[in-house]
Amino acid sequence: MSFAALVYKELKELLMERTILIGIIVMPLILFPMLSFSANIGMSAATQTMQEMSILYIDEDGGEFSKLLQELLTSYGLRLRIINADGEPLSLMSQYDADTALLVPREFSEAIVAGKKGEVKLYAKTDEISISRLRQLSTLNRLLSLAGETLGRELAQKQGINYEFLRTPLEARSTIIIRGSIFEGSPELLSQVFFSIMFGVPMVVLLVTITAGTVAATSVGLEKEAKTLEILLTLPMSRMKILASKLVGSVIIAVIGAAAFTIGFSIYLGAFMNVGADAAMSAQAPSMAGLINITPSSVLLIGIILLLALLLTLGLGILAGTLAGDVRGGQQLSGLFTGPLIFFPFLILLFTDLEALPPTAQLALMADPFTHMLQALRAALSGDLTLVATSLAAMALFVVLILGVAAWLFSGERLVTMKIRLGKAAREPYT
Amino acid sequence: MINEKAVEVDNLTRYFGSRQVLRGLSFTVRPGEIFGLIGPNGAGKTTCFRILATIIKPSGGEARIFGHDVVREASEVRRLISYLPEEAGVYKNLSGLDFLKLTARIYGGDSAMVDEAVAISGLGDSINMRMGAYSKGMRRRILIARALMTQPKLAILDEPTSGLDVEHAVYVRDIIKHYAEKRGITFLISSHNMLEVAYLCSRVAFIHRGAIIAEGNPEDLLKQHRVQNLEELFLKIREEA
Repeated sequence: MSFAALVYKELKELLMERTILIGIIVMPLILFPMLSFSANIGMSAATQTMQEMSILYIDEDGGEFSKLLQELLTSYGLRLRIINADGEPLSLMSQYDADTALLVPREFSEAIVAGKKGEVKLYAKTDEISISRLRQLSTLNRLLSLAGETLGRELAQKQGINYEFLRTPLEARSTIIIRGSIFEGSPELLSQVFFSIMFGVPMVVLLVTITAGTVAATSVGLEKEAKTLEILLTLPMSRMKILASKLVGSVIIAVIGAAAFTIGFSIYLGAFMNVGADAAMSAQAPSMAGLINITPSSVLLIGIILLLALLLTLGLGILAGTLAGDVRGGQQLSGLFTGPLIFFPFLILLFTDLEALPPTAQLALMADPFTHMLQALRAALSGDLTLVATSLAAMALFVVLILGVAAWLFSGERLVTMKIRLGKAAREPYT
Repeated sequence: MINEKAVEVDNLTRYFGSRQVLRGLSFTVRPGEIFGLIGPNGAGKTTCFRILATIIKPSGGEARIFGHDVVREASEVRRLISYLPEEAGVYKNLSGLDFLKLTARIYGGDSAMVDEAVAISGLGDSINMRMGAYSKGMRRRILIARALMTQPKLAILDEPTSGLDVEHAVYVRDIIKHYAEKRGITFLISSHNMLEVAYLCSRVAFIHRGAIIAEGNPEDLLKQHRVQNLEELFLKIREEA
């Protein structure tokens, strides 16, 4: 009963704290959708101006393939103003008030028929280099390449040549055996899957854990800043119960914060997926999804890893809050504790395996609890249960150690007397 | 227990690093009395209160609350006391009522306990306001209410009226007096206000540089040292010390 009352108090105080409410919960829900909205506006504007853009098509050739190129570009949605005139292209652009022009020179069709490359020139005038203008021009260039391929296919068909065969006479197939399981796919695809595992999933886990550390540090810092700590410590309940209420409150807030981030980030990613998806990505998506085989047991393992990681950072957050004098100090110290411990192994293991490192570097990383978290995550996703078990055991040891130190500090008088500011420790001499 | 002492402080010492703040502090408080610990800033009052409230430990000596050692039996001591620090704050996002309900739940109290606390606070409808919006006087009232609502055997109040205007200060003093006389709560208070001490306390101890330099009934002490008031008394005994 009294424990629930304390957790309620923690939640109410933390949820109303500006740094938590705005920084961890509201900001992701506002910032990411705003970024998404801005990106959508930008990309929609670029797409719209692409469709509205009038391109001066200077057809000096007037031949069969020039006509075919016109038709292809029109079929892609481009608006062409076709002129059959000679002249200096820039002058013609000024004359016709065009900022983009395609010049199809004389003997374009003849060159193609003769087995030579037909040259098309793109002219673009711009007052300033903007993302939307660059996007327009790169899209136009891509459409020209696409049209070139189609022209080649038409030409090959007329000449009775197997275009697809000549284009890629070599087909490379890869079979990669991962711990006995056969993966039929390109190394590039595997690389994408690997990065999505080693970057995406840990990022979410890291986010939740870092958030929890900050919240725990804030929880203790608030008590110090508001000068409510001393009354709290003289209540007829154990310090461990008080500590536990702070841990539970912090976990709940961290989970809410993680949910807010996930929702906001999904909205943000959605903006790019909607506008930027192309055929190649769509084609790869099913096989990638098939490779990341998330089973109920792997989800359960990730849950256990997340719980242990949360306890680790909560312990570090409590340590930070205990040593600091106020909320800001606690948050700064928490970042100092958790930031390097989390990001060093994350960045190193993103580019190499632990086993590939020199023994001293391996030992140094093994002394970092978050190395084991990343190893456990990777193993859980790839189904290496032995590595999961050893990594979880190592994490559990670190949890016991860190929470033990946090509990020791929390139960002693250092909670009241210690204040660390910017690396300077001082005991406050209350008299 | 007839001879039971509410507070028994025996040769208490405390160091912060190499600095000695308490130098063999000794005094006793009888059950039901209002005892004043008086001294200038830095004399060691707050350190003494923090030791008695089990927040920090002494470097040497002993302190007992109703027979319970503050170090070895800290849990028992916490059940007997209420401590109000001098600069105690409030949970700014809780209403006064939420805070009192929270305290009642922690102490296993019922709605009658909350109702009494609301009455002690005298905050009226403001009890439903966020405590972050309270004035200093209102905050002190709600904290006094919290300290007394649990019917502690000993209330340790560090500068209970410090910084309060006349209206709030008089209110708090009357509450202390009432609860000592009607409910038998023992009070250990510190104050810089000698008029307040004279009005409230049945016995006082003067603390200077971490040690007691005089202890007794205020009237007896005035007669003994042939001075008019407690301020003169303090200056005189400090010089003698």
